Amino acid sequence: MELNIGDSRDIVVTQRKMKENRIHIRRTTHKSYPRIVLFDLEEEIVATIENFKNQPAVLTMVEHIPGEWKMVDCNLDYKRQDANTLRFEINLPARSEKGPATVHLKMNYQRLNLRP
Amino acid sequence: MKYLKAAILVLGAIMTSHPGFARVDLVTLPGRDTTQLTIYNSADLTLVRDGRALTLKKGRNKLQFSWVNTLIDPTSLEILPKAHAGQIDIDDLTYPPRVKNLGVWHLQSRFQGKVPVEITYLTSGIHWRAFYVGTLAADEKTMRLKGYVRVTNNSGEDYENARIRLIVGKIHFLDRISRLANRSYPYGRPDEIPTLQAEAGLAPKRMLMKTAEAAMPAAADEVTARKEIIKEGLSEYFLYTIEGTETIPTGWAKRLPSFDVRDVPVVSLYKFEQQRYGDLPIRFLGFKNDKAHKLGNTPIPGGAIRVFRLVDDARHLSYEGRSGFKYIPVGEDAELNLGAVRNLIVTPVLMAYRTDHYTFDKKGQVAGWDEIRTFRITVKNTRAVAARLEIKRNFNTDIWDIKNSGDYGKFEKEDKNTVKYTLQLPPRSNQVFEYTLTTYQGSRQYNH
Repeated sequence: MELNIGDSRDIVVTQRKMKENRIHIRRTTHKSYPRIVLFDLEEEIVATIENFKNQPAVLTMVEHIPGEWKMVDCNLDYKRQDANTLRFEINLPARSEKGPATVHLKMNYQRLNLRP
Repeated sequence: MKYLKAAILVLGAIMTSHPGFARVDLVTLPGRDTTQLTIYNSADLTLVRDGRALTLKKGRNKLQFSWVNTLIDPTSLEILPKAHAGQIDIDDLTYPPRVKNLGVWHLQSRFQGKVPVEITYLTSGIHWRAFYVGTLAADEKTMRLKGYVRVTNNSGEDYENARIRLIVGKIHFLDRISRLANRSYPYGRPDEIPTLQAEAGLAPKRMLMKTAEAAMPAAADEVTARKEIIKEGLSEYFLYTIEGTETIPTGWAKRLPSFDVRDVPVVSLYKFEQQRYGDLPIRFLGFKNDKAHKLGNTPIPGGAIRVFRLVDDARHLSYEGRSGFKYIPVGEDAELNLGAVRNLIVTPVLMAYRTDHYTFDKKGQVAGWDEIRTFRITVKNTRAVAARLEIKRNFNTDIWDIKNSGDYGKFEKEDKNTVKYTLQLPPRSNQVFEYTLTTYQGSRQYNH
């Protein structure tokens, strides 16, 4: 059972999409105006997790990837919750005198067989 | 006046030697000896049979019947002598002008003395409904089933010590008795009162009354017969006679016991079908109306049932649910929907999705492909009793293939786009199984 007791202000997650490219593009055979009919999308997501607390903490991070996808590379372990949901259990150490404890997440994945 | 004053006055008309002159004698009104109600729920129609003992004089008699503040259809009134019938002629029933709610029978009697008569008429405003209480045993394998009927009287007339009969079924009846009862004058559709010697062709409505009467053979004998529950088939209908007699004043309702059967074998079943019921399993209670289930003597009228369960030796009860059901014929399976439950949890999750086998047309456009989905279904039985669960999965296409894995129980194809898994869950247990569904899109539907 989980109880939602509010937002956390001491754990900060900053996430950016660093790359989004079309690859494996399939087009029609029209000579003058070949249209795209199918393609894959290569994406890279980077997330920085900072812990400003004086105690260690465990962050459960849930990432959603729609449709059909394939993970190319990920630096942290994850569990596949369902076809479109990834679940990361990230252990964050306590902050030090120099500043917050930081963990980086980098995911490279491809979304497959997309239509324009 | 609120209640009908069944003021039947026997006026002995003594014919004197002077034609045209009649001396009227007023005789004390006799009370009702017997009353019988036959209630047709579907048509808001009740056939009432009043048995009374009237004192007649030789010659012409007048019988006055009034029905103020009731829902009696005056055109349905009939009187039938139960003795000395060969000596009594019923001439007519007239409705005097400028007088409402009153009718006068004219009888010619060659007999003087007390004559038992039966007055029948149709009335509206009396209804019945069936409802049931089921008590499950602690192991939920048997159930005590009690049936009740609730009779409500809003006809405007009190009925004391009445024998009550209920008709189960829907009759085709063109008139509405309440409308006929509320008409200003009853002679909008005059009917002849048939004599005992010659029954001429009867109007259709009168035929209905005759049919209803024929359904209760030897009525006069049954009125005085020993009390017992009589259930008999009646063409497309079924006739239930409630044991004993009851008094139901107007404006009152009465609950009467119908039957009580112990240890009816039942099957406790759960069904999960997201498309139909949503995300919660639904509990069903199944039994059959036959001898093997200690029923099967008569059909069971439709109604509402509340189900309880014995939870300990102190006979404490827990409420399990309620359901409504329709008429259950003899030999028919019955499944009572007791509603959604939360102590049995079914969680289907789409674990994987991919596409494959793309085909392209001459122009290079996508013509077809396969969609492969893998579902994981987790089932938890948190109850202390075993449960049988049916899981149905619906697909939005008619062309598909499926591959099962894990402990999926019994699998069968229900119809062209539905499959069913049947699991037997031990008490407090978990079960997980998976299936991979491949559906074909576009041109792949025809060559896969």
